[in-house]
Amino acid sequence: MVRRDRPEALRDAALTFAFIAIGLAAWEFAAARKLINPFYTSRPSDIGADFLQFMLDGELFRHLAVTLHEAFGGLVLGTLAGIACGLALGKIEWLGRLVEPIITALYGIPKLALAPIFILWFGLGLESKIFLSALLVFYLVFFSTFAGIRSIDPDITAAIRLMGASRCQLVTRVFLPSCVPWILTGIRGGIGASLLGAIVGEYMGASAGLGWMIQYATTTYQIERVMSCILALLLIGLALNRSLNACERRLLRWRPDAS
Amino acid sequence: MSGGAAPPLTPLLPLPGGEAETPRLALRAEGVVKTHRHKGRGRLRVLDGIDLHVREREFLTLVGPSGCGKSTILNLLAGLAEPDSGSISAHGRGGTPPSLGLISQTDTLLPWRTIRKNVEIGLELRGVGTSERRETAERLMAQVGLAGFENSYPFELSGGMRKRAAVIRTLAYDPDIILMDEPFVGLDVQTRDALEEDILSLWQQHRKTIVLVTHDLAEAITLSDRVVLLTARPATIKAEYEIPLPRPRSVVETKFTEQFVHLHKTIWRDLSAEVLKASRSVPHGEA
Repeated sequence: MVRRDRPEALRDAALTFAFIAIGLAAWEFAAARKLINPFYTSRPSDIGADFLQFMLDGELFRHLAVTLHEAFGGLVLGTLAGIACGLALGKIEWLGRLVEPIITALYGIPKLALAPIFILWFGLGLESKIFLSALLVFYLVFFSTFAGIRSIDPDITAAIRLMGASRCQLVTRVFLPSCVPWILTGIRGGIGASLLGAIVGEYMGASAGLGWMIQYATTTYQIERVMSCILALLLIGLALNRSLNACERRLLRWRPDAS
Repeated sequence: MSGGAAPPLTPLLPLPGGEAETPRLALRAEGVVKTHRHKGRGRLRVLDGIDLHVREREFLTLVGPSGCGKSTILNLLAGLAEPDSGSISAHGRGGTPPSLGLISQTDTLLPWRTIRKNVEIGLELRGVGTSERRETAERLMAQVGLAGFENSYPFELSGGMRKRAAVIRTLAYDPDIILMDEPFVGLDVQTRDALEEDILSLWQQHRKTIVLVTHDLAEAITLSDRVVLLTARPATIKAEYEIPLPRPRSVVETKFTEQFVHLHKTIWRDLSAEVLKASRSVPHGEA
């Protein structure tokens, strides 16, 4: 994290907004002049109006709540499973040798291809989306935790063990804390993956959620509604990443580059 | 000196349960042999029958040429590795298995803990209460001039300060035996002197059994009660020297005494023969 001077940061932010504004204006202009067909692309003013409407009638929050429920469920489940597996396979050598190649081989499957079968197994409700999200998150967190465990300085482990630490104490005092930066990296990717799992799951079969809404609005040619949903997802992704940054700054205070 | 022909001096052998004056043994190694696997060269014999007796509350230093297997002995004493043959036994207070502390060359402070929390960890693992832990940590930190850095993280401290923290982290949980593996490597001379001074005064206060490994002879003589000289690889014990310099010692003053100069000369003659031998045999493994 680079610490910049306030005026400089302010100027950068202003430039970014100006850039976005120019892009939106160009879009609006092109749509007004029929350079692009607004039937397919909509235009910023229509999307803004629809987004406002979407918010005011409460529909946005109803669908958002469903999608977030699925994504968060998947994020939590996948993260916990990823940490547990990464820790176990990284530290129990025979288990690692046995299971790690299997997990890596299964990683080759494009996991979203499993979406239809997850619907079949777990139904049209929240569960199928939570599990799909969890699967995506699991791999990200597992691989980074596994790498983190492998990178622990054996001298540190030896010194703490010699102090009389039990296996359980080693896990809580050494292994887990030293993996925190790695786990956070996994979670950073996991935030996007969990939303992806939820949305794709909803495409396959659902009765609510932003993914379902996008699907429904596309088939009924309400392009501004599709764009509103995408805007909502963008904002959510942004907000989640920001909060993760804040977490990271707190949790990684001990690192020279994290201040 | 005619190389390896010199037979090792027989170490002092206090009988267990002997007269009251005989100091009790803290560590005992008998006929320890250790080989390392070496890429493309088969097995490399590192230790070739080491007999070592460390007395309780003794400050013993192992010196020898680089790569002779000093660290290997320390790892064996710490129980981090098993000897191929021979035995190692350690005796704690009152017959219990002893608690050990290891201060290694590399920095093994936990980087995510503040200095105080690092110093406290040994006590924390033993379930000592928060206020008592804190008190011990702060007292020791004050003793080595780390007061005021309680809430700093290791990366915010200089190398010498981190080393001090590592030393008192080990003292904090009061182990029976402390093993130090070239703890002052990579520090500048002033820092080194200051740390040696700290070690001397801490030893004076706490009277721990300490086994130090170093290739710096002056450091060995300044700090210890007994210096054990190892041969080039495969290491055996070449000679032992009692260091009768009066205590409390001062790192700088001691070096100017006649006794020190004499001891240094004597041991150096034996050591340099081994260094020469070591430099002729090629592979350079660990120190």
